[in-house]
Amino acid sequence: MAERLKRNLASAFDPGPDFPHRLWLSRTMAALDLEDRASRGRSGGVRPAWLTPAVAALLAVAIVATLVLVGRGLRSEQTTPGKVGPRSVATSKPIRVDPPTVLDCRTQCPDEAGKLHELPIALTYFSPNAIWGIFNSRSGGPSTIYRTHDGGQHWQAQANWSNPHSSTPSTTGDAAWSNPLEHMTVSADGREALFVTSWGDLGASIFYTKDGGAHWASYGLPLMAQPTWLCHDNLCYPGVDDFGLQAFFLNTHEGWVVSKGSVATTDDIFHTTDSGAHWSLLANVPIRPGFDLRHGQIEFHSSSAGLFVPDYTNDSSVARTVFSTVDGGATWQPRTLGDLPVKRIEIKPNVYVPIEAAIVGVKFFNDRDGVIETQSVTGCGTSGGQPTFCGYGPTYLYATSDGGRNWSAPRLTVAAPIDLVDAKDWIGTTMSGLVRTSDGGQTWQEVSVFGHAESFDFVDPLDGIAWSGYCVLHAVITYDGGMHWNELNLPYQQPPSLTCI
Amino acid sequence: MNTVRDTGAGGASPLGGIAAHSGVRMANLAEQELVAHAKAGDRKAYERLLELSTRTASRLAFAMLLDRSEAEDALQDAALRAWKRLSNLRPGSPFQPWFVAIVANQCREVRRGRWWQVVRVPEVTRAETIDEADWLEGEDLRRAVNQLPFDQRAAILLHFHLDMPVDDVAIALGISTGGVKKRINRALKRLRPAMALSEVKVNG
Repeated sequence: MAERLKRNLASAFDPGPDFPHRLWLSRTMAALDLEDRASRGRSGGVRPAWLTPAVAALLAVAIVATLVLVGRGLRSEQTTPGKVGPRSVATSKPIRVDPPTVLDCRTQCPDEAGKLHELPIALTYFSPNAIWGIFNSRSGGPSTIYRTHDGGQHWQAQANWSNPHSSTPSTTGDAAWSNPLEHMTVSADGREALFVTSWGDLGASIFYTKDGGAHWASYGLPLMAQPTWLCHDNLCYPGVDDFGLQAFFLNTHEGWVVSKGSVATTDDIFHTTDSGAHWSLLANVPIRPGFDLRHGQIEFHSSSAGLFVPDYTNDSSVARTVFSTVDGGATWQPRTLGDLPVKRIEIKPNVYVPIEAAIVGVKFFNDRDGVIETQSVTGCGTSGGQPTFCGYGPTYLYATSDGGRNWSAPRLTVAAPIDLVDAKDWIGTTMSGLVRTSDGGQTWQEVSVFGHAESFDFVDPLDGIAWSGYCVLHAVITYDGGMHWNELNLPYQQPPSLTCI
Repeated sequence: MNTVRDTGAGGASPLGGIAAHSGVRMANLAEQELVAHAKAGDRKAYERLLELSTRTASRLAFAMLLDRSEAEDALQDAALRAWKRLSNLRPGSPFQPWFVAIVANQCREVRRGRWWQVVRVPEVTRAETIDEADWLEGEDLRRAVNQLPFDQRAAILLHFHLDMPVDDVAIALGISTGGVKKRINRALKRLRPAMALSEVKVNG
């Protein structure tokens, strides 16, 4: 049997002749020489280890760095925290920045585990210098909420709690399939903050402060069973019975939780208006094919109106389908978004596969304007007469300006993932680097050659953070729309002996 | 050094039998010499190490990414990354599983960040006529493997596709041999519908 498996694998994964290309090794060694020469030519100075500029842009770096210093000097005169007023974004030549090194301890550092101090859970960028961070203790100690008011120069511990799973690596990513909990909601004045976690002292819990972190309340979530660790595609997250736990907070007071229903064929949806101190059962929502509120993403943009995006990885028939509610989540109606401009793509001469749009995220900027982000998927065969999808295609966006009643035609976008700062200002990554748009995706401007980061979080078109990494978090902060990035100081230090790949 | 062979790819050493065993021992000694030289900055030694691991690593990269061009790029990025981190390779540790782990992680990064581009379904080797049933079967297998969690996918490809012993897979994935077997068994359970396999033995 093993031989048959080997044969089938060999056949299915045969790269064909001359692979890798016969010149691959010589090209690689040439690239290595080039890299070595470039690193020898680099100037000294303090620079994050994973930001290694290319030689060709050194001169531009020096010039623009001066401009940035001036800009930051001006910034320091601003004393009022919060959203910064409109500022022009520099449009000078993009700065090359080599990709950050994503450290992955999951496969390489089991022996080093004891040397790790803390694990990141979530970062929430609230205003240009105010950041909330939640970190687990790698050694099994408490989880802690930290806050900084000065862009990471100083961090203050706000609250902590025991966490039986604190030493398990988790994800800081924000993809639709990642943990829907473990996120922070902050009020506009920065005094109120609410954090939902799967692992509080009461089990799945809410931590809430209304005095800027001086005092915290802790409330349990209305669940029939406490979360357990679930792993999917090498990422672990808490859930009840597969993906089954959702939480969404519209603000620091009003939120919804969806959990497995007391009847197997329903989801229970609970609602709170007092930061989780009290919950009411809003409805038992029947599960039907392609619709299970625990499998996907929920987004409310008012107390009554919201959208649910089903998880297309479980069911390709729900591509381009969203469900909307106007009664706070008690009932949901399906809506199918417009067709993609292309129905199929040619993968080789005269061989076509279908292409479909799968929704990966929805975001509302207010109660009217919102955007749905899709990742198109390409067919790769059939099953039971229906096409199956396994490849990835370009990203399309749908926009609404009437609270989701009507959606625009799909608009092809060059970047993914995208951080949608507001209805017009978006920042995202392409294969060649970081790009931005100020007109809702009509035109894009290359900002910098920035390597892979799992997540961006911009509070306005200029100020943002980006991060990547699992057991070791690497985060950077920008004050000029992504042209320049500085390493973000975190409230703990990783031991220098840590070696990961 | 010419006796060094890519013992991780294809499994059966062309030296065969006792000679093969001896060859492997010589290979390990020679490999350690190469590693030592490479750590000291000897590019030729590093090139030779890459050469010895290219077949295994490239097959893994292709199996993970299903795109020849992307796989070559990932392989190159991994080679550059490994060169920079060569000092992290513990003395006496084999080069290939360590390098394969870097390739696997590089492929994972590519997969994470690839949603801006179309992933092409790989060319079918039978060029002129496509046997629909076979093509779909192969594609079904590719899809099934592709949908496995990373560690299970890596374990199944390293062990069954690249013929790496479980011990080496354990080194590459940074887990115990028991952990490797668990992942392989979990993966096989999920592959069975596609593979129509009732039982597959994991060879330690």
